[in-house]
Amino acid sequence: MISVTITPKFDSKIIYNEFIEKNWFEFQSELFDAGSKMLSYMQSFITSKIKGESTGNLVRSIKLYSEAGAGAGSVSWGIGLISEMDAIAPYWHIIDVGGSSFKGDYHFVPGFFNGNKFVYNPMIAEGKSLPSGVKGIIKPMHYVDATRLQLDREIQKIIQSLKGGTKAGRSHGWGGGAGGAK
Amino acid sequence: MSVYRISRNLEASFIEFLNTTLKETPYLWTDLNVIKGFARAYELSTPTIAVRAENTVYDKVEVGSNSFTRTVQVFIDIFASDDGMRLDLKDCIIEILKDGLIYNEYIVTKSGRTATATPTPNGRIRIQKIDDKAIDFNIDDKSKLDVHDRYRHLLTLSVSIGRVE
Repeated sequence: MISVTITPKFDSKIIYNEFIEKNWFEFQSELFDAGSKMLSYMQSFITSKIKGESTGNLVRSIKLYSEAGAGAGSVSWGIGLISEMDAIAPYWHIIDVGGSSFKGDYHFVPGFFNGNKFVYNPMIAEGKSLPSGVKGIIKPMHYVDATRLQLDREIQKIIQSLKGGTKAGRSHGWGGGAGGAK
Repeated sequence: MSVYRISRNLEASFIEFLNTTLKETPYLWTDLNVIKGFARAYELSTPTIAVRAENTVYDKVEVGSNSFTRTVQVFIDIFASDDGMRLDLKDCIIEILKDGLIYNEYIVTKSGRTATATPTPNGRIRIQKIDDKAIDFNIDDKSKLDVHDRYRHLLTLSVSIGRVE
């Protein structure tokens, strides 16, 4: 009978020293490009969830911002500025996490009135209050979490590409090793 | 007879596991509703947990291969009755999910108007990542919110069944 023990060898110092630090400018450039990719992903994710309707101001309100202070030694960016999104598309949060339409004077629910009937539509209006007694459930779109999942994947790809594209990646063999057969 | 595919098996495995474990000792959340979806939570009393598997990413196992592995985002919305319950419930859920759970495959059989889903264990669901956040609508007067939206919490899990498809 043969049993095999596989022992992952994972050392974050090796990954940093041999792949990221030595290829810093390449890594920085790739990460910076990831910002544009994620912006595009988030916008197209929202668009894909809306069938045959305008995406309103939500997509327009989401922009890429390079963080102040990012220089040769760092890379930093963000997608979506809350204050700006609050001003342009105030329903951005409830579209992301879902919820019940608000009561009273809270003018937050996107949609429009068709006669006496309120038609909920997350994208084509800037927010209307519902008549008392009318309720609507806004299903969550989770466009922020979907983009975070995509970002995790993108960073993995970048590290993998640095590993595959450098001499260090071939000689140090990080990322797993097999133990002996017994 | 019908057979669930992977995404529905994942959802159903989570729902069954949470529903069973949270109602047992030492947790004893006996009045808890565990449901699939989101909107139906607003028809039920709190506390309610709504589970759904949504976004999935696929990664090739190697260059040139048609095989892939999948990572699925599972969303667990917690609708609590007060702030303490919100925190306790989300900590209980993290505690019981962090070590993973059994992946069941379900076969649904119908008899008249009754459908029965029968699980068969076939692997393990591994939790790769948990994001934990309170859902806060930044409204001082919570009475303006629906009772279900007053004390909400969202757990976002990245999970894998470690299977090459």
